Amino acid sequence: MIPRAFEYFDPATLEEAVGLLEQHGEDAKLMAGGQSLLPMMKLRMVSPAVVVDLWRLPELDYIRRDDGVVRVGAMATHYALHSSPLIRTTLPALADAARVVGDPLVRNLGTIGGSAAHAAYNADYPAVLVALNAELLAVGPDGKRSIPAVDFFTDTFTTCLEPTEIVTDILIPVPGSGARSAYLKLSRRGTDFAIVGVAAALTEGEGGHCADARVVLTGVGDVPVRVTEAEEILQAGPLDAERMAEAGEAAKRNLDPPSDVQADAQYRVDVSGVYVRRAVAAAWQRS
Amino acid sequence: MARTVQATVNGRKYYEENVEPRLLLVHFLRDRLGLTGTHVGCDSTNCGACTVMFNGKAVKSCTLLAVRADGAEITTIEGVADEDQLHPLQEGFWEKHGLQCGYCTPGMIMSALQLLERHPDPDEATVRQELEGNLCRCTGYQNIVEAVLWAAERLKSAGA
Repeated sequence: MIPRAFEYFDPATLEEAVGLLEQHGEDAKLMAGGQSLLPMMKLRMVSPAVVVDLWRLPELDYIRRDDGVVRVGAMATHYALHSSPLIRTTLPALADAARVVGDPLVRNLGTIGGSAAHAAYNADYPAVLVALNAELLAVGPDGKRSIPAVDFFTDTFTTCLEPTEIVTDILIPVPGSGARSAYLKLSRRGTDFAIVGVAAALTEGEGGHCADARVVLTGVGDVPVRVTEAEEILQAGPLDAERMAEAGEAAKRNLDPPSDVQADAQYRVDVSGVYVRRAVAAAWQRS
Repeated sequence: MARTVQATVNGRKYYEENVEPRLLLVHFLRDRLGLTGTHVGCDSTNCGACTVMFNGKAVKSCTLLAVRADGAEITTIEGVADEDQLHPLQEGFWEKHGLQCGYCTPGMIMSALQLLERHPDPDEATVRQELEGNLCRCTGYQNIVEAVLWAAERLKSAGA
């Protein structure tokens, strides 16, 4: 399968990239790792007239900590993320997610910025970025702006980005003491998207209580779904196995997931309960 | 607008003019350079038959534009053996009967090269996990896993 012919640019600066987007508007597509865009182009589900490839912008490929914030460049690969000691120790849920995107070959090329901007409803990062209170930085003709993850994802395959904007960095606050997190994914085979994925970010309080819980699901709606009723249960008393199971049951209420080739809606509801319980337990066991 | 691609493939420098931006790396390798050991399997980023080492990373060459290979170092299955001396992974696939039709084998071996670089002493679960991006429709994987473990042992004792 061969993509339809396109005009190709691989700018050497971000400014140049933004200029190309301004010039070509909706006709242009940005390429990061290309692991979602190219398969879609080969199937001719999308046929952009112009491809703006970001591979010559090494300044977007980094992972570092600045004071209380972990900063990740949009072109950091999934492999770089899950093999990074900084990410593994400070943001284990992000490392978990990066470890299960696609397969090892896809993870060598695919990027977090590309995956976030692609915004598949069943992708792994969106739930994690919302659970960890991430912000995405985007640059456009009017300069930079910061977008909370919860506002970034507006629909499946749709973000709040303007056609002339590029995601450049992802900022995640370093969690305080007592914080722990995990991401757990159900999929049938290695390369698949999630049937259901659960990101759990918990903070231990006093007396075995969970002082703060953020539990966010992927694969069950057009955008990441936060299950606040389950979060409230997790924070309401000592966090033991029974409470985790109760939170799992609560998470199933009010879910309205899609049916697709991988699983029907009811199956997604049922496994959401199980995976919320397991993700919370996995996070809680980490210290 | 066609580009020029200068790349080092299996240690040899190539200078290819008139590379169309939509040309995929796998077709560049097969049709332009004549390196047909890299196979097109599913052609949809699932099967890994087209796996090559690209700047030290195992990637699916059907999901990468050839124009991105400008300046790249690439190793294909043709570059794995040392002259007539097979790589331990190639020997392992032979010894352990890690193939039947052989179509997936070049990709399996390129992925396994990466696997053994990152995990020089892998257990069976690690081998299975790290080969998740490669599909085989003949063997049921058992002998492939054994071939990789055999090669790991061989490389360990050679290094010791």
